[in-house]
Amino acid sequence: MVRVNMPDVVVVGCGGGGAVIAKELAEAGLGVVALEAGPWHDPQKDFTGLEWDMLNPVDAVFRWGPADRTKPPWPRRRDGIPLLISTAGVGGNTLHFGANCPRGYPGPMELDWPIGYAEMIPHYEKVEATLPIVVPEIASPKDQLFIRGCEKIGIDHVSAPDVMRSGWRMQPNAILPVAEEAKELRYPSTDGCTQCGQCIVGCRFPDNAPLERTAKRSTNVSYAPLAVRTGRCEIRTGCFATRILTEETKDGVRARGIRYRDLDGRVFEQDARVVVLAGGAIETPRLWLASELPNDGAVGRYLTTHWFEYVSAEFGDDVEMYMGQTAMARADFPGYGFVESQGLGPLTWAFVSFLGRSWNDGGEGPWTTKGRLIGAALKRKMESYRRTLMLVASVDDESVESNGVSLADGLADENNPAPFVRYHATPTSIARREWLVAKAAEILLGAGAIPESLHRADAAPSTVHMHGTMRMGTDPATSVVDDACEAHLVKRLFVGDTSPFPNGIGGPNPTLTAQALATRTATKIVERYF
Amino acid sequence: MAAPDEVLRALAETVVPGPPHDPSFGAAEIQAEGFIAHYLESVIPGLSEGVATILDGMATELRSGAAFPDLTLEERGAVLRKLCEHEVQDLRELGDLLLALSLASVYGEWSGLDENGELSRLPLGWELTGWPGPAEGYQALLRKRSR
Repeated sequence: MVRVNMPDVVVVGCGGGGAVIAKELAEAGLGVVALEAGPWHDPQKDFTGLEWDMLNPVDAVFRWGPADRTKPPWPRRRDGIPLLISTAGVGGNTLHFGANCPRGYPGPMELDWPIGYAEMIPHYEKVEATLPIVVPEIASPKDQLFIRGCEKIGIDHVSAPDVMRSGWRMQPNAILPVAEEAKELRYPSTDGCTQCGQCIVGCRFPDNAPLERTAKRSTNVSYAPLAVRTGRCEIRTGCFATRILTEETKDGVRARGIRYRDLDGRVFEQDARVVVLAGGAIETPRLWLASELPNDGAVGRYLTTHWFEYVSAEFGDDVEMYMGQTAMARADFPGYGFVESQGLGPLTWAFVSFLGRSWNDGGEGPWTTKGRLIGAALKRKMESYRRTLMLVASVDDESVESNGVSLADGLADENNPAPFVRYHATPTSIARREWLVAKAAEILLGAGAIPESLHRADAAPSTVHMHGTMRMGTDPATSVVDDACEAHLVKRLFVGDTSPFPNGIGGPNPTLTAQALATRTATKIVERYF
Repeated sequence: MAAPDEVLRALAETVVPGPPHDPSFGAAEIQAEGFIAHYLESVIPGLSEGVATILDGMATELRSGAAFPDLTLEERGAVLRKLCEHEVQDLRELGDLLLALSLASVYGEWSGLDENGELSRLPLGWELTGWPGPAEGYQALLRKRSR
């Protein structure tokens, strides 16, 4: 095990972004300590493939809470956004992401990002090569159906990674290439993705694979091991950062380290020359606010979530949505967001589809049902699981000051006041969402869905995707970090997750963009301070 | 007043009914109340009893003197909806939790677990949906072996 006692940099959070910045800095020759609140799982032992065991918000393997599952989860307060999905653990939310890793849309990034889009391309390329990102050649049955629907309604096929216009394409996934057929699906006779369909429940395949040959490239199996392998990065698990330590200098406030609690409640202080916050778009502003750092008003604001909608329909024949990578094809619609087919286990499918905001009183337009279903109606839907195709629409939602994270009054965990997260979509975001949902219905019908079976979830906002609470920009009144992701008001303090996003990058999945940005930020840290 | 177990069973049966209301097995046949009570108690100790009091109280409002399990499935569904649409956020969230736990009791793996928490039989929800459960992979979707 690597020990780093006097690090150059301390990174808070070893998830999708933190592990990347830790690896890049350690490879550049710096000593790094990454503090991670959760455990570093052994997928072969810890991941059971059982939906409730892995994903429930109370005591699952993937949850926002201490590694000891008998202890309660860390509480959060919500307004307008019932489901706050975060996972403590090395890998963070990449533990349960679908591994879809497209680039952001160039249009909105050119518009609102102080660094534009072209600047990001070499960093995208580096992450794509490192993980690696693979565009699959074989689509699973559900994705073939989705593609058929897209083609039937005249959506063009596009293949360039830089999305300049609408079209469908095979999904760039952070998943090793699909394995060759073999007598037994076990490493080493099988190496690569076995198409088991468990991306979201936690990938441990192929069976018996060493950590770094796990098919889905969450950072717990990719960037974190690469960081440790440099011999210059120590990942301390079970360590919850509770305060950013600062000092006054003649040039203003600067970061000097992190105070944190370990699993036994012991408190430590870790000094470093640079501090990087990478706890995600809820925890990063929470830690800033709990540390009472200077704030010109933008900290915790401008949250975007892509406010998903889920739609489903039945087909005459089996679809078997559970077979294959979670999403192997997608259709991008710059200006609105994207739509993709998604394969889930029955419980996860039921949760996203039938626990929406409203109770079904009949649908409108193409939708026969909309919202919550219970009783016989729910059972009939569940019986159609194997013949069902589900699509998800991810919206280019507007970035507005009123959505975001603050500290909750009268609610705390053992570390700090709890975060209070609020999200209410703007009329523009709602209109874009309706456009996408209408498009999704056309795709389902084009694919041959039974028209009377179309169901719309009326899903509430969630933080499956979350970004923007520590915005990057030039004006401290509307942004927290500068174009190198260093805080305007606290020197030597950087942000390395999705929270610097000035907007929702147009709607596509944010992980690759966060990782490319973290890669770039690592180079800026070295340039400025080492 | 009905016993908390009976109320929770009546609740789960409202979300996932079985015989005589529906031809296939539902939440009552797997004693879903045990699952729901376990999670309610882990959120706030004593919550199962609190839920029973609330649902019985709402049942009486609907039909004088009735406990929640006395109501028809349709009436219970109306009570549940009313709770989920309540003006008090905590009650709305409680309604959402009850709905989610009822759904999960059947369509998650719980009914297939033995006393050691090991999967030892087919969970009811897998049987109802036809899902074969987590697989190591699907040969039909792998690349053909290069010759």
